[in-house]
Amino acid sequence: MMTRRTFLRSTSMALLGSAASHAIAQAAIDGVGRPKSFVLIWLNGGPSQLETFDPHAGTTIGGPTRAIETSAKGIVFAEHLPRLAELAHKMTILRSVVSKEGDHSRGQYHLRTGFRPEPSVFHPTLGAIAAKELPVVGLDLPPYISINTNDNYTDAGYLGADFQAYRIDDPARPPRNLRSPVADERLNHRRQMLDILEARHGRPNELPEAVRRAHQQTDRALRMMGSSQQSAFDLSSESALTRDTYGRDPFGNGCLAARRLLETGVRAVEVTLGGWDTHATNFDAHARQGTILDRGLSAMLKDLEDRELDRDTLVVCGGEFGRTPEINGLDGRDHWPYGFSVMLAGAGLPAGVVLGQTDPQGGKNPVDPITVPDLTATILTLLGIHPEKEFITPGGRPIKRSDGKPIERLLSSLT
Amino acid sequence: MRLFFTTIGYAILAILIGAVTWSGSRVRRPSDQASVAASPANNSIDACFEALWKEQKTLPSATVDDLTYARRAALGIVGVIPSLEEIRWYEAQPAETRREAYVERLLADRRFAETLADRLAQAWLPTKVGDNFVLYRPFRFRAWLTDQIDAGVPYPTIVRQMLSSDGLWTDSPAVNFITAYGAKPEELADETARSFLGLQIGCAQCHDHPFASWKQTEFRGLAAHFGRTDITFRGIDDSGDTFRFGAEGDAEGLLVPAAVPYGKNPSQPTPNMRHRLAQWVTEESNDRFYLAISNRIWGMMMGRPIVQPVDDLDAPHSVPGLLEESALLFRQHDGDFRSLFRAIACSRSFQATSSLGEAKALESHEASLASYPLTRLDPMQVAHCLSQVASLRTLDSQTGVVRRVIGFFDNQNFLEYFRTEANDESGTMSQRLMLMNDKLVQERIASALGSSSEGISHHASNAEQAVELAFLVCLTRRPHPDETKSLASMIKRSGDHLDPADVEDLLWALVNSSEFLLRH
Repeated sequence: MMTRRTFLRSTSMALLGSAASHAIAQAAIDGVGRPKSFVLIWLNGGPSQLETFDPHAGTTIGGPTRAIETSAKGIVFAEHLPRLAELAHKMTILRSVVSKEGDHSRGQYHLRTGFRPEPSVFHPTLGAIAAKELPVVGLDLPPYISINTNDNYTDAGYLGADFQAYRIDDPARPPRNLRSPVADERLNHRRQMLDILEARHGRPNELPEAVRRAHQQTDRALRMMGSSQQSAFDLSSESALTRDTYGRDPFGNGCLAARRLLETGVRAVEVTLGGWDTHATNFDAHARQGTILDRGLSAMLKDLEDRELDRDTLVVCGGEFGRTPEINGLDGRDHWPYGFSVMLAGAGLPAGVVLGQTDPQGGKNPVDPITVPDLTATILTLLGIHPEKEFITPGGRPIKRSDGKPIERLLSSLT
Repeated sequence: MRLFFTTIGYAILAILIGAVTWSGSRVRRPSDQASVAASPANNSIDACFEALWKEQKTLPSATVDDLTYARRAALGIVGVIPSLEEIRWYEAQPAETRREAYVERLLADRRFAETLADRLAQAWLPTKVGDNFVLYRPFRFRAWLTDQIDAGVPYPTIVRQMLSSDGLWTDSPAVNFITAYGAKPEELADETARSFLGLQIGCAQCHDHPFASWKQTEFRGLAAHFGRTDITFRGIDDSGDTFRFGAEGDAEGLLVPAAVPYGKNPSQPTPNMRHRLAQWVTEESNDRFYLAISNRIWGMMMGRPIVQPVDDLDAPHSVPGLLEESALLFRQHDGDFRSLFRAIACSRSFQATSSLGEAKALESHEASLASYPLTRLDPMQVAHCLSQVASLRTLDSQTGVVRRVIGFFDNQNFLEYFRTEANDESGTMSQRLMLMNDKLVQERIASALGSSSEGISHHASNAEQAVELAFLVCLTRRPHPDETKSLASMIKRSGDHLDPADVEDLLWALVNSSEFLLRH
C-alpha cells in the first residue's frame, strides 16, 4: 500500500534519527529558537476526507471522486485539489484522526481546544494558547486574529478576554472600529479628558487588578488605532495578480490577509471556510468548496515559502470531523468522527508523509488512529509550547494545556 | 400643539438639570451623610458575614455613600445605572429611608421583572438553538417569565410550570423549556439538575462522575422522568414510547425506571413522571432548589456568586452558611424573588465599599465579601447603560413605544457584535474598539434633540455644572473638585450655550472610563 510505504519511510527516518533533528524537536519543546506562528485553516461543517486528502477512488465508498497524483510519491489527493497536490511534498497528511464528538458545536469545540465541552469550564482554543504563550515583539495588533469565523468558538476560556480572538468578518475591508469617527485633534481632546478621569484611581502600582486591566486594554486599543501595522489589513496594496492567485472570494482574501498578518508578527491566525456540511449533494459541494480551498491555501503556502516564513509557521488544515464513507439517499455524506484527515505543513515537519490509513470498506477503525488530544498536543509541541504545563483556572482548578501525547514519530523526524 | 409639548419637555429638562426644583426653589445639595439600608430579616444574613470576618480577623470596609449605593442597587435589580431623573428623586427622599425607598421603587419597576427574566432565561435555555428553532419561541418564553415575575408568582410555581406543562410552544409559553432541548431526556435531565439544583450530574451521562459521587444510573433515573415526553402536533405531552438509553443503530437500548438522584421519590398518585419530577424538584424540603436560586441572585447583586461556578453547589462556598440562611428566608417568603433581592440590598456586604478609589488592600477582602467585589459589567448591562446615558429621563416601560423599539433593535445590534459566546465579561479588543469608535456608541453620546448631551450643553448654566451633570448621568456620582476644575476648563462656550462637541467629548471619556465599565 502506498500509505504504508510512506509511513515506513517516516519511521525509518525516525530510526536513523540524526542528532540535528532531535535537537530541533528538543528546542521546539523547550521553546528555544525563533518563535513560531500558527495558522489554522478551519473547514467548518466537517469536510469529507474522501473528497479532499484521502480519496478511495474506484471503491464503493469512493463515489464518483477521482484521485490525482501529487508531488509526493505515492500520495494521492482528490481531484478538487490540483494546486495543493503540487505542494504535497511539503505536507504531512494525517489520515486517521478520530474524534469522540459527532455533533457540530461539540466537535468544533473538541478540535479547536483539544478538550470535550464541559459545563463548568471553558477551555481556550489553540490560537488563544499560542497567543498567550508565544512571545511577541513590537506588535500593535492583537496576537490572535480570526478571519470569517462567524459564530465559531474562538474564546480564550479561562485564559481571559485578553487572549480571545480578534475577529474580522470581511478581510477585503478594513476591520470595524479601527479608526476614530472624530478627527485627531478631537480624539486628543477626548483622550486628555479620559486621562483626567483615570488619574483619580491612583498610581499604576496601586491600582486594583480590574482597573489595571481596563487601563491596559484601553492603551492597547489606542496603540492599535494609531499603528502603521494596520496596513496589514489593507489588501489593496497587493498586485492584481496576487489577488487573483489567492482568489477574490472571502477565503482567498482571508488567506492573503493571514500571510500579511504573519509577516507583521501576529502569532495565531485562523481563516474559516464553511460549506462542508454536505448531507445532500456532497460531490457538487466539495467540487465547489475544494476549488476555493485549493486556490487560497496553495497561494498562501507558496508565499510563506518564498518569504522564508514556512519554517517558523505551522499551518494546520481541517474541520470538526469527516464524512461517512457510506453515501446516503440524497447523494450526501453524514457526520463521521471515526477517521478523517488533517493536513499539517511548515514548522520543520517531515514533508511528503502520510500517517494513518482509513479502511477502503468504510470501517470505523483506521490504522494508527490519532486522537484529538494527541493531535493538539502535537500542534502545541510543534509551536514550542509544552503541552503538559498546567494553567490554573480562575476557579483554582489546574488544567493541562492538552491532555494528549505528542505524536512521537512526527517529532522525532523534524528537519 | 407641538410647541406646547416642547415647552413641557424643556420644563422637565430644566428641573432635571437642576436649574429649578419641583417647588421652584434652588436645589438643596443633599447631605453627604450616608444612610444605611436595614431590615429585621437581615440579622441572620449579616450574622454569617460577621462570623466569617471575625474568624478571619478581617474588618469589613466602610459603608458606601448614597449615590454609589444607588448605582449598585440599580445595576443589581434593574440591570442599568440610575437615570438623572431617578437620582433627583432619590436625593429628594429623607436620608434615613432613602436606600430602602429606592430599592422598593426598583423592585416595583417592570424593568426588574424584565431583567431577572432575561438573566434566568440566559441561564436556563441553550445558548445555541440549533435544530430546535421551529419548536422554540425564546421571546415568548421570556415574555411569559417576565409576566410571572412581575405578578409575583412564587419561584417554585414558575419552575413547576416549566417542567410539567403540556401544550404548544406558541400558546403555552412555559413548555419552551422542554422544546428548547428538543424534549430530549438526557439534555433535559442535565439542564434540570444544573439550572435548578446546582447539581453537575451531566458528566454521569457517559460515565460515573470523576470526583463527585454521582453515578450513571442516577443520571439515567433522573432522565427517565422525561422518558415519555414527546413533541406532537398538539405540542408537548407524555404520550411517547418510553425512552431507551444508548439506543443507536442496532442497539436496542436500556429501559431505566425513573428515580430521583437524592431524597425521597415523590409518592404522588399522578402517573405522569414529569409531574412527579416537578413536584420533587420544587418541594419545600429540596434544599438544593432554594440554595441554587439564592446563589444565582447573590451573583446578580454582588457581581459574583457565593459558589463558583454558579451552578455547582458542591464547589466551596465563599461565605459559609450564607446560602442556607438566604434559602431559608426565600422559603419563608413563599419563594418571592423580591424578598431575597431586598434582603441582599440591605445586607452589610452589599453596602461595603469596593477597592475602587480606596486602598488596593481592600482587594484581598473581596474573597470573603468584606468589600464589594470589583467586577466588569456584562455585555447586556453595557448596552442598557449606554442607552440610559443617552437620556436624562428614565428609559422604562413609560418611555414612548417608538423610542423603546429603536432602543431594542439598537441594543440587539450592539449585543450581537459586543457579546461573545461563552465569556460573559466584557474586555476584548473588539469590545474596547467598539466603545471608543462605533457608530452605535457615537449616536448615544451625540448631541441630538432630546439627548443628554443636548440637554447638558443647552441648559447647564456653566461648564462646572455641565461636568457635574455628565458625571451624574454616567458615573452616578459628583465630580471631585480637582476633576471639575480640570474638565470644566476643557469645555468652551459657543454662543449662548456650551459647545455641544465638548460635552460629547466628555461623555465619550466618561463611558470609556474604567469606572463606567465596572461594578464597584
